[in-house]
Amino acid sequence: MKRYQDVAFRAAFLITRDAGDAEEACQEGFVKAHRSLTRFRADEPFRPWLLKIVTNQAKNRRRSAGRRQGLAMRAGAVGQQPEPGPDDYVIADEDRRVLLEAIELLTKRDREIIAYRYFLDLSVTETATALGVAVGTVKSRLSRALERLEDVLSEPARRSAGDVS
Amino acid sequence: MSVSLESRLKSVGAHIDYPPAPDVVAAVLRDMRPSRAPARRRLIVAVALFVVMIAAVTALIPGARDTVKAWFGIGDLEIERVDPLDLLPSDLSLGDPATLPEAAGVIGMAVPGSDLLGFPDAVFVDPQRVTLVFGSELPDDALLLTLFRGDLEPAILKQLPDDTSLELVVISGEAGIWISGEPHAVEFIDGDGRFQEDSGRLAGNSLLWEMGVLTLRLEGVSDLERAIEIAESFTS
Repeated sequence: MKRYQDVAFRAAFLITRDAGDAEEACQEGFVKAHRSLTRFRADEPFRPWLLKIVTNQAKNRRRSAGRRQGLAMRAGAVGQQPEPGPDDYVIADEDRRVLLEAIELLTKRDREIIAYRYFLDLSVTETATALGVAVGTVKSRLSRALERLEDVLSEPARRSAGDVS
Repeated sequence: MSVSLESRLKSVGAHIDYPPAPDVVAAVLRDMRPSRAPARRRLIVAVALFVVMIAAVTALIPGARDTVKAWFGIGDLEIERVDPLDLLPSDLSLGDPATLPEAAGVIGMAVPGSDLLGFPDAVFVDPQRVTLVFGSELPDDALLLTLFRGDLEPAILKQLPDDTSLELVVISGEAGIWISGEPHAVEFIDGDGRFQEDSGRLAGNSLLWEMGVLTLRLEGVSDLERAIEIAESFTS
């Protein structure tokens, strides 16, 4: 269970944007999940299933009123940054900041699909399970969200900062 | 060099400043420390089981009998394997015909509706439950939806034939049980904590799940995926 609590908490936080609500959603999700453990077979992925239950709890909590915080980047100390993976191209802090600001301008629905697919680094299939939608829906929603993100980024004020050279 | 948008987004994700993740396992266990209420003790055991079971999530799935014991955590009611022939014969005693407003009076709230099934063809009530019938031909082609007021957790399958299998599922994020195979008897603890025998009649393949303060049971659907689809179409 502990090995999944970080990703579960991050998923819940991306939905609720509130640390306290995310923690509550995780706890409730984990308790609910135990009831359904035997649904699993050896060849079934566990992580997206757990994320689905936690995500449902997080969405329930998001509906309640409350102050929501925006996402922020970590301070740029090199020692605190993760080793770049194969897809983690080294890009400028400024580019990441611009991207994050642009994402925050999107709808909740667009932010959600981008966050699960790229911020949590879930596969399309995992994203579909976690969000409780079909794989085809993830692909189409993702495609439209990226188009809208490109539109936001192509506004003149952002264009220069969005390119990497 | 231009980097793809997708790669840039993954890079953003790797640098987001999340709040520190709490120790959820410890918090869950701490919040459910022993106590006063047997129900809380049940949860402690269940969470402890969860911790153990997660570590071995790919291990063999226990049989239905062990599953039920593990799920409920406490053996306050024994699961009793019986010969199906010893069970009572099937009997569709559903109560008295009623209107939906009358049914709402029985469960103390509006009857949940399904945009998939539409209005029920018939409604029956008795003091403890509401039964909705979808489909005009009884009993072969009908779907029965029974609504009880009370939690699913204390719903006990007291008599489970050897050939009945039990699978725990998720319905709209809530706990559910899919029972298939041999017909089985079902008994419930109602919202007041009283043990209720559901007319002693046998149920075929059934899906039970929670919706707020209600427990719902769907009968007449042989396929689990279809049953889940129908169950998730009900909203309160």
